[in-house]
Amino acid sequence: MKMKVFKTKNIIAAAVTLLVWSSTGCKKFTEKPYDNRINLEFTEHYQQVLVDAYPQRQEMFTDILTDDYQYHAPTAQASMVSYFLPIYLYNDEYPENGFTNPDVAYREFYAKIYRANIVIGGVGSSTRGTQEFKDAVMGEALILRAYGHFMLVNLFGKHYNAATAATDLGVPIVTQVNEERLIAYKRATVKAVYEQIEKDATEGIALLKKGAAFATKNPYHFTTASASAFMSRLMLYKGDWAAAKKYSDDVIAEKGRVVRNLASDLTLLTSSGVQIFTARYMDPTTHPNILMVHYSTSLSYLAPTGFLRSGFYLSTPAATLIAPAGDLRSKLTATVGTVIDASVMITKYETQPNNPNGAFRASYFSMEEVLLNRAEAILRSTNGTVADALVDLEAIRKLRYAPYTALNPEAFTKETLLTNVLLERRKEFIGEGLRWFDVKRLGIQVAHSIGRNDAPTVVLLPNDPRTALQIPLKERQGNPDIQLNPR
Amino acid sequence: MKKIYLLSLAFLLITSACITGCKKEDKIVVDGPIDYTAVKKGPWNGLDSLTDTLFRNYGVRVFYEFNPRIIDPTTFYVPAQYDKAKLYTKYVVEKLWLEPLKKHFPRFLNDQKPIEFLILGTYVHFNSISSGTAAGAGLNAQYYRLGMGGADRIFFTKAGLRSHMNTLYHEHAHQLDQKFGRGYLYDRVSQGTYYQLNFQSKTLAQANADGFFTAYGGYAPEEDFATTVESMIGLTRAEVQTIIAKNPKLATKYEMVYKFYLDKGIDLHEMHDILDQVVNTLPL
Repeated sequence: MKMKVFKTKNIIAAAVTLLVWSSTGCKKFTEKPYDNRINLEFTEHYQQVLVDAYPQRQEMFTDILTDDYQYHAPTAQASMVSYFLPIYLYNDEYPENGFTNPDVAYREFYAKIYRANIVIGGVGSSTRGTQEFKDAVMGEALILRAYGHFMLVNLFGKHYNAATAATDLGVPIVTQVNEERLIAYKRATVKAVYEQIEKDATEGIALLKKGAAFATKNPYHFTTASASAFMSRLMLYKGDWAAAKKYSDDVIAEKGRVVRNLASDLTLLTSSGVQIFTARYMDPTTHPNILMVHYSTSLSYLAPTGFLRSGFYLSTPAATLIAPAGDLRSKLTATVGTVIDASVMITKYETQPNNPNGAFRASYFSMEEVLLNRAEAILRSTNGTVADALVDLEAIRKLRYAPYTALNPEAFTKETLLTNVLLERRKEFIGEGLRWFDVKRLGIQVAHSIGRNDAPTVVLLPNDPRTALQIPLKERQGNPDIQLNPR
Repeated sequence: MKKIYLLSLAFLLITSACITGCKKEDKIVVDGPIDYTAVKKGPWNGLDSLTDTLFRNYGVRVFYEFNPRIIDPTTFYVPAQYDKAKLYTKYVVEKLWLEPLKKHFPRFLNDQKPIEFLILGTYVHFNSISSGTAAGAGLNAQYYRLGMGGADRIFFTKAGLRSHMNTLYHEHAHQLDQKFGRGYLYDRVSQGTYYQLNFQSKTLAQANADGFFTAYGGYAPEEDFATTVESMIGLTRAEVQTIIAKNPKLATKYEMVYKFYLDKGIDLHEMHDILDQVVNTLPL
């Protein structure tokens, strides 16, 4: 009997299968966004990505590495002690915590660099934006990338020293969003990182200017003024005095020498109390001297120094420096514990002195820093004059000392006035996370002890290897070949 | 050969049995919890009797002997000498503190007395054994216990003890502040004007002009509160009125503190007068 080769049911089955295969739209299905995320297409999408590209001031924990802060056990909250005491003692190992430490800082800055890179890589081909709009967004992103790298290289590398920068270990330079497998990033030299930063920032500022009509003007974003302030700091750290002065001049040209009127701020302290005072202290709308500010939604980087039980308070020398009644900054402290504890903390941030649960603002850049950068740059350059530096210094002193008497220019040489400038710098920025970088660049020796009258447990020497914080454990685990800082 | 080995082994076994010998473990003496109502075992001295009487009459147990479990391990002081402790208990605790309170302000005594009173020889060094200048006159972090330091240094004269009572009321004021709170309104009076650590360079006159009863009161609100109480116990009503006329802030704070204590059953001005009168009756 002849077998029917093509049975009916087989033909039908085959036909149906063929039909099904040809009509399932696999590709369309996988192309649709599956969790409502926005496809980055328009220029304004890229601008919005930048809203989340501003890093927390995760370098502020470095205050406890400086001579401005000391540890006081009796009023320290135990959990805070375990997180931060190892860092205070310059240990490379420290427990994990959710607030702040070198590991959190490393991840935070690279996370924001990542966002900046998304924009840098994509905004050029975005649609629905004029060239100016794209320039503004690109400019902001470049400056953010530069800022992130700047923070990283200053935390994890030695301070920029022209003689050794070409061999000193910096940090990995990340300029692209990685879409391949895991990259084992290698550390670039300090010189290379600075070159990248300068390139990005200079280009960024130029683009911000070109796209001025579209550049964000609010003080929570980089503007040409705050970007120039950033460059003024960078050039100061680099030792390029002329450039530091030039960038400071750019900021002054845009904003004028507006310095915080501290006496006026302090009236709030007596009329409404410290909590209202601190809530307003970093408010950029009422303080034009604040060039750019960060809004934090959690205690985060304020944890080590920011409240009554943080455990780290002003060191005796620092407290003594701002204590004189004639210095208005003496009012920026709150007592900790009893008179026997003899400790004070700085109160500049909302939620202080003792509500460590709320949100607060902290400035990134201020006119005071720009002026002090300028004064220092002038005094360190061969053609700078005492008179020129005094213009900046007095602008600040006028609003910090009551009663105020101007300094006599005849009484100062460039060297002696520089000492004065550096002292003002220290007093002005206590508790703002800037001192560590001065400790590094000025070769200041720091001795840390556990108890008030005890001999120092650890001494940080000038140019100590530990001024370059060790690459965090998590990075070493994910990137085992990364070069470590010498110890 | 074998025999030698056997003998040696036997010798070793016997000697090791004798030497190792199970020593009876010494029992570790663990003190039981402190029983505030306990009767002291062994012969009583004069101070024990006095302490017992005070406990039965007023409900306050006086401690003067060094016992590290009574205080925490990070608080350092030298215990009071027996003679000083006895004088202190007799004159300060009984005659000047408990007796007048029970007689004139029994509600205040009943509700606010600490059930433990510690007599400490030196001032209190918190958290550091080094004898620096920073030391507390009192130990008052707990509601149930008040400790007064410097018993070995007190001048057991009328003037010395009268002055010490000001300090005692100051330290007790800290306790009431902890227990009830001096209030937000109190802190607002001088907010933003406290000297903090600069208080050490202020004179009494400057402090009064700035709105504080003493320079130390200008350190921080908690000391402001306690020094107001101290001043009301140490000065006559007329003297207090003169001071509060120097700054309206002083008047405000004075009213708040006076009422705070009045509500609890004690008139501080009256207590000042009572103390003056009682101290004159002491055989010193």
